[in-house]
Amino acid sequence: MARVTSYVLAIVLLIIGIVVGYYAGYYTTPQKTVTMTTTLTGVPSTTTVTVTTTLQTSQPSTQVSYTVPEKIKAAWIYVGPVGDFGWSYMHDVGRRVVAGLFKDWLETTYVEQVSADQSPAVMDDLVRKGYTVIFTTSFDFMDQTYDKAHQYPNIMFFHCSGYKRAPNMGTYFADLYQVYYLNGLMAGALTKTGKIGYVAAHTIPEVIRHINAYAIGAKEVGEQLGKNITVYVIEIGEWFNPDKARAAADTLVKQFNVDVLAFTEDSAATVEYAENLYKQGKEVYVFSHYSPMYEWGPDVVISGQLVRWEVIYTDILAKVKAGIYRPGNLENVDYWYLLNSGAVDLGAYVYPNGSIMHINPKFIPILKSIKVKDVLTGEELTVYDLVMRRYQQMKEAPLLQPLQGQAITHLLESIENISTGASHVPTVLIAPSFEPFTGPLKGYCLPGMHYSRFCTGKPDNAEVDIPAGERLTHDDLWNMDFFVSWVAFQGRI
Amino acid sequence: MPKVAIVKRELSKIATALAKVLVILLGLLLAATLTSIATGNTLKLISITLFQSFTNLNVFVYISTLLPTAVGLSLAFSANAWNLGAEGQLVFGAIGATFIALFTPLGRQEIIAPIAALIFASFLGALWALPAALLKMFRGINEALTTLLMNFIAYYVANYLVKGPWRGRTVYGYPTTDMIPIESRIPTAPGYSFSWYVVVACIAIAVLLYLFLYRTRVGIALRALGSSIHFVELSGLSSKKLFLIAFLISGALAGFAGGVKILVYHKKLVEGPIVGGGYGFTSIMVSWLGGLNPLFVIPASYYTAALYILSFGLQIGSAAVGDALSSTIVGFLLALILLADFLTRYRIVIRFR
Amino acid sequence: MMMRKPFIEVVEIYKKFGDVIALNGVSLEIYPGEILAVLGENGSGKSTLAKILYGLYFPDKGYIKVDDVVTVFSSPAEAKNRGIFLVSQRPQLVDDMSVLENVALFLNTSPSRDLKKKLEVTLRDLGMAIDVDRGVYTLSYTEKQFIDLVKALITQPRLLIVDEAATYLPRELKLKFLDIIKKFAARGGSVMYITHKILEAIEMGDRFIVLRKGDVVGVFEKGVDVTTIRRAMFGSEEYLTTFKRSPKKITHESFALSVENLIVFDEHGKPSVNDVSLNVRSGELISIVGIAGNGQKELGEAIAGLRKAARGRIMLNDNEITHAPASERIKKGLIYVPEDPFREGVAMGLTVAENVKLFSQSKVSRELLDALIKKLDVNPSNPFINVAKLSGGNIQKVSLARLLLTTPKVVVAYSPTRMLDERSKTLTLSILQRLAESGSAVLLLSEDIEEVLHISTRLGVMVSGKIVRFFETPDLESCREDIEKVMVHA
Repeated sequence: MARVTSYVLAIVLLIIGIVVGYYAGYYTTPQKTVTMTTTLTGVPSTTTVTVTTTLQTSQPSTQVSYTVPEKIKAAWIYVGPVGDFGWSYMHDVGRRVVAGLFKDWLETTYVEQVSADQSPAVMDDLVRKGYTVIFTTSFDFMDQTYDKAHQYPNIMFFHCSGYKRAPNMGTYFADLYQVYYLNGLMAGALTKTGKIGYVAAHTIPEVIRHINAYAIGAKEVGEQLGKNITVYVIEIGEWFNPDKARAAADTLVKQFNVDVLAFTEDSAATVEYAENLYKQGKEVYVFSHYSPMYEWGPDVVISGQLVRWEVIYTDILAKVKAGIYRPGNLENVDYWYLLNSGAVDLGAYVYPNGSIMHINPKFIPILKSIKVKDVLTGEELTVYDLVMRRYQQMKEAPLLQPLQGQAITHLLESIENISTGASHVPTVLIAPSFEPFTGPLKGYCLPGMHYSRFCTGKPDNAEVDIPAGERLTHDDLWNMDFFVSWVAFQGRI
Repeated sequence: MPKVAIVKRELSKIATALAKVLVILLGLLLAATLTSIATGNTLKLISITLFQSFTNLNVFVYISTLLPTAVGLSLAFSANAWNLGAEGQLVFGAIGATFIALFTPLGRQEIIAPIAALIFASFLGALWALPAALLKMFRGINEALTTLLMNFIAYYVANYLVKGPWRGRTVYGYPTTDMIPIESRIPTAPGYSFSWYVVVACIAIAVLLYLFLYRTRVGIALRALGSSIHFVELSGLSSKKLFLIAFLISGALAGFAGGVKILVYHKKLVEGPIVGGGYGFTSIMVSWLGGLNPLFVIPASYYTAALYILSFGLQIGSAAVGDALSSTIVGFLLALILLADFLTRYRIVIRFR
Repeated sequence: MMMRKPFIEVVEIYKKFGDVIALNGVSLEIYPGEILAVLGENGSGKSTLAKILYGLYFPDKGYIKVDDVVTVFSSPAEAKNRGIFLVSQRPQLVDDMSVLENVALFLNTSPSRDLKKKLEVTLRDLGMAIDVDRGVYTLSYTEKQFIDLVKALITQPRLLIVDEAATYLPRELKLKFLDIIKKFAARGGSVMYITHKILEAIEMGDRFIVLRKGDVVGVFEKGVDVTTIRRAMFGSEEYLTTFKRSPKKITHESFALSVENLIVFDEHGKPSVNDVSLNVRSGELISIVGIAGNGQKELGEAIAGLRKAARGRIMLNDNEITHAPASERIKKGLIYVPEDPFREGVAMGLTVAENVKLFSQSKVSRELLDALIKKLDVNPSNPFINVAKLSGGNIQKVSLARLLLTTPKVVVAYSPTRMLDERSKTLTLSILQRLAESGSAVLLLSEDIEEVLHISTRLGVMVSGKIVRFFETPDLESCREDIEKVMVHA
């Protein structure tokens, strides 16, 4: 019995330790104690009532006084190593561009391989070392950045890919869905089986957008060529996992007879996989993702998506230097840059002179030999010309870019044109003349996700029906929680 | 030809401690010199970065995870309970804390919420350690293997929760839960990213566990378990019960650390590998650095934490040595501990014939 | 004396562990073809000396000369290179490896066919039939001890240090073991024979060196008598050699410990205890003797709960404990003194004080601790040092502290005196006797009839797992020859 008692005692001690420790900590932290002494009239003057109020000082609300510094010190926090040749690598390319461009007044540094829970301490360290502009480049850092923004009201934070903002914290993102649509056009032309594959990192709105855009493009061309297009999707549940990406690609090819692949995963594993198959005599084509991956699969890469964060970084830092962005007015800064901004592009290779190879020359003759109709105009043209036409249509939207930098103007992004009534310029285009996400579209809601106006309050797999001519807005795209009907989700591995 | 001999020696405890500190200081100086040569930075700059890493209060960020876990593990290891599952237990602690904070009314009660969350986190951590202990006790299945595998199961459980039933309503499909209520978060020290409450609790835990291991009969018996099961049995103490206790305490403390990670750092549940972050594995090393003595685990976790800070500090600003070299330096500084340990236990005798 | 050169010379060796002086300027030399017996009480520094010669320890002062050249051994490998080998009180073998692999590992070669042949030949010459491919874990203690000796002999060493290696062996095998060593010396090898058993030393030694607390207190030539050596070993201090059996008053009729038809299997699934029944009343001291390997050890372990009983019943004060874990039995008033102090008697990772603390259910005060250490003559007497730093005999003494902390209902002891010098042995036996007198039921399992003859109230002889005969007369000494006969031929 004595033994049992001592065990119980040990556990109780442990719990007491926790409680005591907690309270000890509670009372050792500095607290602001305001003592108010009020003398009440009408009662004997000896009575004094003392009211003590204890205020916790966890988030000081200091007034921000800010002048643009002579030299601006900016820091980047990366979730991966800069050598990953994916996400962090491309952010660092962006950093190097601005570091060279603004070398007279900009000092940059970066910290790589930082995990979410390490990021606050790294931010503390950066602030202590005098960095006043901090870019946190992973969704995982969102809440930590948000907290630190409250803690350091004089520091400007910019968080990539999130949705939380504060007076001194803005957000930015470069979105690839339009490029995926262009990739889809080519996939629809080149697939023989009509079955195309997609290796998805996570089924979050961003990736769902990519998949749908890709599927819409593929169907637009494929259907005209008499193919029954189906997009098979396997989710791998991680942003970076070459092994899983390879396994998913293998499943798509072997089990679903897929012959064109696209993916969202931060490595070239899928490209390498396809290149290997090619060397074994099986032709499966692929689109490079995010960074120029052409060199990993020169025989199989058709095209791909490229990102150019320097477009956004240049804009932000120039505005910081000009005093336009200052701590206190970032609440609405929300870059959502598309093809028109140049922050994303179509291609899989960057030539040494900096120009982009949009489509692998190997595939250009085939694409030029296939004829389809432009569904908007009914005009007959080659797939190559169609891709280029759509590319131009989405790229040429000169009025769009100012709207894409502010949270409050995102609403206006889907306005197609404004009539002026002026004699020579009756209408002014705002949004691109082509938008992949334009009705009629049919789809189904994803189980367990109900954010958009199409799926909120509806059961899982409920039907989505977007009427002809309706263009999806920024919010619709941000909350996308449905697949178009010819996407077949095969689950997660 | 000179002969080099490695000879055992015994120094007093104080001399040992002093010698270790001296070896580490000299090693740090050497590391700084080599780094400055390799990167072309001045020795002064590198030394300042080193010094700042060791004096940066943010070491407590890492200490508050590493210390409780490593202290629990040092208890388990000294009882020959090879719990390699701290990572999974930590993840389960995180799940427990999130559950209390997000899905029970307790989560909205100030002060009560974090305490309840931490207690439940410890409970779930212990619970996750239990199957391996039971399998060992009743089926003789190697606990090192089972606990190691359970880590990955824990990862998947957390992944399932954040991608399935617990996925937040306001997270745009990202695999995380919603943020836990303000009331259940533990406030951090102004200008830093750790919580004093947690730090004090962690040190209290280390001291309490030291007293338990070295002053109570059950604690001494736990340590004896590392030498001989038969001895413990012949002293009238059930080796199975002790084994179970060792497992449960180490699991509970890893769970506690997991709870801390949620309440102080993440403030929501994220995917398993992100919550765990490998701290459960690092803690194994920390507990051995501390010689399995809870009191020595305190400086060991401090040293390891400073190395974390250093690995980032070295990358920042004009030092900017990059992740690869900074990892090399950190590796060197860890090896330094082994060298210090070796030099205090052995001396090198060189004789010329 | 012949003008020969010593093979090895030890000059003014001084070694300190913490505050304890283990060797205080020891000098000696060993000649080829000579057996030098090194005698001393537990903790007198014998093993430390052996370890220094074997390169395990490094002396603080002094040096070693091999073939008249000053030599430094920084590791056993270097000692082995010079032909010096140690056979210690615990066989140094890796359990998970085969015999051949162990020998190969020891010699730092590969387990080649040549080595296998050589090993098989050596074993055959010594009259041992052991399959060299067997895993060491399947060997008995005796077999292991022989393999340990053989692995040293196979290389034709120049100096063999035998550190209490024969102490554990059963008598017949011990003679064989000692014979091998003698033959080795006769062929010109040097032997350093370390023991605390005076008679054994006299039988083996050509010369004798006696150590006491790190000092050389006597050097004797062949022909010295027991008393001279004993006086050197123990100084002028008095010690008890004879026991008087007090007239028994058996207070209880019921049995404190009773074993009924017990069957216990060994590791190979053979019954090592085969249908044993015995009863011990409170106040009785019953001995079970037998040559090692006849089941006494397994009997003791089965009663203690360290080994599974396959069949039969074990009762403690009328409670059945056949399947209870050891800890339960201890809590119910049983005390078991295990054979191997290193593995079971103490926890090597703990201090002396912590070990003692675990023996007692109640708090152990500092005064009690000091009194125990004094009474048991644990040397060094500092209770806060790690037990691992004590010599084998002193570790056994710490293990015996468990007998002095409570008045147990039942005491079972298996060869508790094996590692002890004569004074401690006497003390231990008197403690057991006193426990019986104060009402404990004592069961002493032993291989040495000398030590049990004087104190037992009843004596059983165990052969091949069975108790073949009980002797119960007031004067057991007179039955000595009968007992020995039963032990050997049954």
